[in-house]
Amino acid sequence: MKNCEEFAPLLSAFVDGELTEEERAEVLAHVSECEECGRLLGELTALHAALGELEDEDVPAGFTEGVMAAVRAEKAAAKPQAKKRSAWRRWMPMAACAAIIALAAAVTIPQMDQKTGSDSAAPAAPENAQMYAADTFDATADASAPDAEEEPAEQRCETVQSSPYYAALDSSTTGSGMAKTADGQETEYGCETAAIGESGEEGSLLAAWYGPVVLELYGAGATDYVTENGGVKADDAGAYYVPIGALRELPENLAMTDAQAETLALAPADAEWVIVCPDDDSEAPQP
Amino acid sequence: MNESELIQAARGGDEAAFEQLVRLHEKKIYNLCLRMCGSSEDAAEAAQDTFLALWRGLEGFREDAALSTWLYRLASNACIDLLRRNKRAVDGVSLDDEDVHLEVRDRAPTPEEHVEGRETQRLVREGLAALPEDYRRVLVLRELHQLSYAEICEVTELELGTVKSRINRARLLLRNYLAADGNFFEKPASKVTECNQTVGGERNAI
Repeated sequence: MKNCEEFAPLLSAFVDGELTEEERAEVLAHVSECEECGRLLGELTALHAALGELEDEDVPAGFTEGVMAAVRAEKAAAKPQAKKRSAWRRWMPMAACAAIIALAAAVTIPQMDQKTGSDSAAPAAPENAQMYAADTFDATADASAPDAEEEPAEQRCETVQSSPYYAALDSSTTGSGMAKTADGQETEYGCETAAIGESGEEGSLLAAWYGPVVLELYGAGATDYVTENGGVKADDAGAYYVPIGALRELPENLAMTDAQAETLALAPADAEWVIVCPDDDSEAPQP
Repeated sequence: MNESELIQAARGGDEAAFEQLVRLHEKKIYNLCLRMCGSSEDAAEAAQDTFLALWRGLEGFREDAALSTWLYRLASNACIDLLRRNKRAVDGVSLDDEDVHLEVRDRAPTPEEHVEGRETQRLVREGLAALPEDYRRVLVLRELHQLSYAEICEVTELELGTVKSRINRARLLLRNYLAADGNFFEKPASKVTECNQTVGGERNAI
């Protein structure tokens, strides 16, 4: 028999229609008896409906044309016969180059006006020429990998914008090395000083550029493990502040994903706490 | 031409075919970027980067993969990149970018928006924009683009357990944000139970 805590994560999957027939029946049965879970399910459902009502906006005017202009710039940069022109552009100051193109376009405009049904793809109006010039430079600038930024090796203070969802008191962080998160993004890990739980006592919380790091701990008994090893409730959504040491030597039945274990390994030495969401219902990922 | 023919043609350098592909997917991609980035300028930039990345990557595109999945992945990464760049700009004391962040949250309701539905929409949009990016991403893909958990795993390259728990957490965070407003969840009890029965039923009935 599941208790309310075990049903909580199922409610979200219920709303998404991602439960098996059996699980769905279990949820419905529990919810008909349990007022709190019933209320929570109702709220999640209302949220789902409200999100469904968000209207799509139209693409801004000129968007498609902007994309095609950038595409043409790429093409031109790639062609062998255009290479000579690209080299020329590289040592011409950007502004002068744009001015020259705009001038050339301005000269051709009167001729374009006389044509009937002018092709929108032709490099006609000055705006297109400006865009063309700008996009050419953008294209060459972006030719290298988007993540090729040099980070200073020495530590630096960053002001991390605190999310309204976390009670981080002091948003100063110290950087300590780049690493990849599960989604393949490069991230710096540092610490934030935060109030740990209801006592309000401050501790050093593992954080990334976007705010405190949240790790998931999988396996039956995850919640018990967390609470028995110094875990302190962080909020009502199943998150806990957990002493970082408790996560480094997990019992066999509990595990994190490889990517998250890597995140943990990259934590700076002065990180004391991590926010953890124990998930008793999912199987521990196999190494 | 159908989509795979367009892709073939575009791969060979056919701009008109590529433009067709852009028109087919631009609204979807732009709206994903809009909900992720929070402003129309940023959304347009991220969306344009997405299609440019598509153009560059066409050669390596596998025939059997769905174009929209790949586009979602490119767009989602483009948004995260842009948000990171903006964030660095904020740290570098650039007041313009800071205004962009505040803009989304502090705008007072217009008279039109006081009509009930609009006010709700604004609250939900703000709540979404205030979510941490990793949670916002999965919730947007699930709720606004109706991707299944499996599809979201493909797009984000995250594992199923992570996707499930992030969506759950995102919902709980958003619900706390909206509950703080006071009126959002006041609905008659019977209506709520009706919702429970029908919503869960749509997909499960398959």
